[in-house]
Amino acid sequence: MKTFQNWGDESTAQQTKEAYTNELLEEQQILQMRSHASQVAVNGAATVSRPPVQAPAAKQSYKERREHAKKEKLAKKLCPIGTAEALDLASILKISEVSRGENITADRIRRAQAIGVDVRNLGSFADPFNINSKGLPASPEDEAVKQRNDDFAEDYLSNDATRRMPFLVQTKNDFINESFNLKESDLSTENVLKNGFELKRRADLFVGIEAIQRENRAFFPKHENPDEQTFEEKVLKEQEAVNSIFSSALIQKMAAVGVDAVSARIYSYSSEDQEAIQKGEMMQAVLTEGYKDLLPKTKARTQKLFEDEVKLRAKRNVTEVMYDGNVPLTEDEKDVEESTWLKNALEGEIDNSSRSIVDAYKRQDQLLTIKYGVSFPDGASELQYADMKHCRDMIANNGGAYVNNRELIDLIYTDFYRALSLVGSKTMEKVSYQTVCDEVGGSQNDLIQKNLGSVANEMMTKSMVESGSIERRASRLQDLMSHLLRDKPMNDETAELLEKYRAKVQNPGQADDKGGDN
Amino acid sequence: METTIIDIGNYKFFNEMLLPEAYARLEEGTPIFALGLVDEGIACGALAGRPKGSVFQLTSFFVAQSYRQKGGAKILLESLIDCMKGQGDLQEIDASFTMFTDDHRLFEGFLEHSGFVYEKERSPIISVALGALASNPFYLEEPETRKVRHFSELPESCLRELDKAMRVADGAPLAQPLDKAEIDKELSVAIMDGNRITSFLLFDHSFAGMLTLAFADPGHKDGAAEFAAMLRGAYQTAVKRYPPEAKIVIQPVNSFSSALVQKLAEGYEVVSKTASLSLN
Repeated sequence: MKTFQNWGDESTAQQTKEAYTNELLEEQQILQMRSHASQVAVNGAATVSRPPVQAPAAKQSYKERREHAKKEKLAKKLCPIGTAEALDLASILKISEVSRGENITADRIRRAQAIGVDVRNLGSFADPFNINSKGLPASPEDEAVKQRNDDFAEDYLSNDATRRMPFLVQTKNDFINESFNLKESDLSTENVLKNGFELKRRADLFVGIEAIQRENRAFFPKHENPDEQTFEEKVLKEQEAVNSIFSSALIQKMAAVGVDAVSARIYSYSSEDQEAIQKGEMMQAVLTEGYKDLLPKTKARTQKLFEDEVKLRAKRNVTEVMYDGNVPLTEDEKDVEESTWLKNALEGEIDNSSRSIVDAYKRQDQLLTIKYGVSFPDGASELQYADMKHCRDMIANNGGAYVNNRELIDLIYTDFYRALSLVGSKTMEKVSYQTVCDEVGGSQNDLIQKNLGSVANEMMTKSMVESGSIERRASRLQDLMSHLLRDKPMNDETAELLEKYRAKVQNPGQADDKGGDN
Repeated sequence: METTIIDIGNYKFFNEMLLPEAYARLEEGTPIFALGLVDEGIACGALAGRPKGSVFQLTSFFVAQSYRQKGGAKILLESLIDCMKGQGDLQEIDASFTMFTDDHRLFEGFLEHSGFVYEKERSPIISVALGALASNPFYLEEPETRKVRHFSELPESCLRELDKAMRVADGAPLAQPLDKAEIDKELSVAIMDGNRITSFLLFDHSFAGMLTLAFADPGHKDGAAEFAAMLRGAYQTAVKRYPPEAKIVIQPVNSFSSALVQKLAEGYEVVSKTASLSLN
């Protein structure tokens, strides 16, 4: 209670109360963190040849703290809830707003109105630069930025699609990049104060793109009917709701820390400004919760959109892969080529661009079934057919051993077939995803295509991992068959697996082994 | 290796593995969160820090030399993240430090490898070799040393007066009173108006023993000429007393000092680092 014994003036008392509250919150957080930590016995300490050395970090140096205290004092003088950070943010937003708005001249406003362009976007999509005390660009680099902003305004107002194109491509990529990079922690008070400038630019992009899309329908088509929407259109549309709530929440969050994001200033003691701060405090809580709720849902839906698109393209591509003639015909196969169904199948391979992936698998299976006497209708590589034939031959050539362990071998043989079938499916899946990766590999400048490639790559990796696990199981099952039929030695892992199969034969009712040893 | 909470019962084992400030808080019982790294009952590393809003500020991190390259640092960091996840509000870890030993460089690499992202600091600490300044024409000009006075020539009362005046206005230039602080009085210079210091440059060795420009005050807005004279005066003294490879540490904290560093300390190196790791 000592802290409260001397209230001092009103602002000091307020600061003391805030400091005390923060201290309590910190203690509470630490206690909660501690409850999740473990406690182990310690009875000695390692030798430390060079103990850690303290050097002031930039944020904690006396010089920085002194400067900070100066700014805090000034901020409190200007705004009842002002802080040094809020003052810095307002100042950087002001520089940005003023410099970016320099390309909005009276002449350009007139020309923009004439062609129905939202003139605010000339500033929103310009880059900020430093201005000196005379109001001019502070350095040659700043002058170059100003020139770029003027060039952009002229290109956009030319209403010429070719001149606008680089900006539109860049804007679409920026929009996708910023949308995909949204994080729950973006709207924490600390982050808003620390990175408010970057967040405001993101919000400007999210707000401004609506007019850019409307003004450039050839580049940003809009179909009301979902069936007519392109993949890109669906991806962009999916982001709209969360982006909108992010922008609104940011403005209110800034108001709640005393910064007017729209006019880039720190709020004053006026009653109007006080109302704006109170509204900000109230609204930011609701909007931030809404944002936190919507963000993971949007990310999940977007991921699904990409996965569905990869699957769609993969199916198309698998048909093309099967065309590449990866199934070499043997002399024996050529002998049966005269059969009617095979002739049809081969003709189909020459011209089946419209055939579905299932048809392609079936045709390959028909060819290989003749060669190996085993069928994998869901697709497999020739290697899997050969492995299956090898096992079947082992059974045929070791009849005595088979009869002795018939029930066990039948069980293993069935699982072996299941495993190989799966390996085949996974191989096909892998190849099909690879073709999507190859297809979009050249589109590195288009973020939607690039992301599509990444998702295809992730899906391919997942297939490879799954395929690898199943292959290992298939290999052990093959070893088991060799052991049981030809008395070949086996390793410990295979022996362990054999015991599981024996147990299953003895207790057929027991639950399936879900394969912890895959 | 495993981790343990560091508390009143075991903190002494971690004495040499925590920075003094963190250790002092544990000793005093003031709020701090600290985790220890333990290998078969032997304390061999520690981290400490404090939550501030949604950010956990990591202020101390160390693994004993003979226990390195065994994944201990990773275990410590992962334990911290687990503890933070149990406390829903915390979403980020921040680490701010300044590099002047090999351990700091190791730490820099470890954070990068662990997914921390380094950010551009608003007021970074920089260092520049004295020799690097020699090619700058600014320092080659003849110094107007007539009006520049070294602190060693000034009576202590002048320093006390200056300290008092600054405390009342914008805050004391150093944490300790000027007449008691360990100032490099040979290098620190001032311009006087009678018995009053109107502008000054303050050097000490507060930054890990290195030559540090601790404070610079041009006195008034149009004090460019005085400022230039002081800088040249201090430089002339420094080259006589220190080898060219001696580093000068500076932290520009406002636009004025930032602009000066850009112009007058070419070839500087940023030595302070701030990195953050987002947990979502």
